[in-house]
Amino acid sequence: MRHDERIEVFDRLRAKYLPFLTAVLWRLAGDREIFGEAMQYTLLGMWRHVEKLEGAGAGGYLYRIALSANSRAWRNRIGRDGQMPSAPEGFFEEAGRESDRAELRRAVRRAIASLPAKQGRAIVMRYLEQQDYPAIATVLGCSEATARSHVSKAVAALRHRLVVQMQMKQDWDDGEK
Amino acid sequence: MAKNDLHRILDDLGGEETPEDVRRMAEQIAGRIRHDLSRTTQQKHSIWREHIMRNRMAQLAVAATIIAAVSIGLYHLGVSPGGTSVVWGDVLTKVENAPTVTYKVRLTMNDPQGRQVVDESDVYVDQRQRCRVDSYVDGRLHTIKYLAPARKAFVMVQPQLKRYMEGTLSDTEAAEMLEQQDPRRFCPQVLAGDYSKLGRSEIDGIEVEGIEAPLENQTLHLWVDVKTNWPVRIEVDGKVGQHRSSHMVMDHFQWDAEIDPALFEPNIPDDYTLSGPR
Repeated sequence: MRHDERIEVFDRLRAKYLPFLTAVLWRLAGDREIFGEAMQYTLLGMWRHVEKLEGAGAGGYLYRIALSANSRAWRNRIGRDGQMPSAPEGFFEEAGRESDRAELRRAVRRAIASLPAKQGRAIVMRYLEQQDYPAIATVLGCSEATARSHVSKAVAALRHRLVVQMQMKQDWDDGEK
Repeated sequence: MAKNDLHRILDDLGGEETPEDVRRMAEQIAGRIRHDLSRTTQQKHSIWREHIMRNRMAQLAVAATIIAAVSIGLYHLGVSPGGTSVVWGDVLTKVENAPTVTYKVRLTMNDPQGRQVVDESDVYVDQRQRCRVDSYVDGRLHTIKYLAPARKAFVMVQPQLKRYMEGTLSDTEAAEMLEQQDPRRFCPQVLAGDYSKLGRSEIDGIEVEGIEAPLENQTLHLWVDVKTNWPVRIEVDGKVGQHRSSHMVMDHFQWDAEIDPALFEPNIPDDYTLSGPR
């Protein structure tokens, strides 16, 4: 595909999907800096794979790009290995000032960013976009039953990650006493 | 965490509306990227790169080109709402507008016999995308490479051996070589890769901010002056060839250097012999 043709496709995709990407990435990020990075990665990923985004499977592919971008943006914030930044006390002090609910939402977002790709997509589609299982199955390219299974496993994985995060915080708090 | 709590939080997240300023931010980012894409050309797999990777000294030039590309591709690599970090957008703008660039490269690696070899090179690239690489071993000029994409030609001179090699390029190779020599064209490809932020440091008394990015078997560290937004140093650690570890440092960048055009003309002495490419 020629460069000008790629630009045309990119423009069409941008017009069609930018509102959707904005909504999904904001729900996943909940933070302007992370959102900005994730959006940049997503658009650049869209450009890189523009040929693959012309067909009927564009939506599913775009999910992968967007969730991967979101994970990268979170990783840049919290560290490549998913551990706390070099000054964890800063993180927890910040979290401590927020309400418990806001802290939990942030923890959930961070945990979503660390999920495997398919589980991440399942969670985002089911809860953040509130889509039904047939729609999820279409995008994931599987049966409805399998889509339910993906969502169920994703929720379990998410819960496990949150428990680990909370345990880390508890350990940290205990160490401070 | 109770099961219901998690479901409730997830549902809450799904019900969140996007703030207006976030929508505007998304539009701005998309517009900026679109603007940059209109000024780039298509990426292609490089036959030229495969060609010149055949010899060790040429590997240096390739790596240098890739690294220069990374340094220019930083526009989108960070959002700094607070204005306290490197303004990555300025990095691209300034570098993109620099008519020329010169820099030094120092490559340290082990040869197949396990001996440490240090190559040091001076690299010059002009506004016509001509490139010259002067490589030194133990302080002695070992090889001079001239790349002239517009003329579809490359020349490699080895002064100590009084010999030179030259070659022509097909239209495709020349076009791809042009892309190799104009780092701005790497932006989408490079930016689609992975990286992490390194935070701040100091190099030669200059406060810098860095990123780390993987390049196949290598890891790249790029440091940018937080005050001027010019790249200051690029380091690459990894392997050259199959199992040879290497460490490369690029520094002494001059992004708007005045370069004598004659520097890009081979002017091979009469007593040098022409040898075929390896």
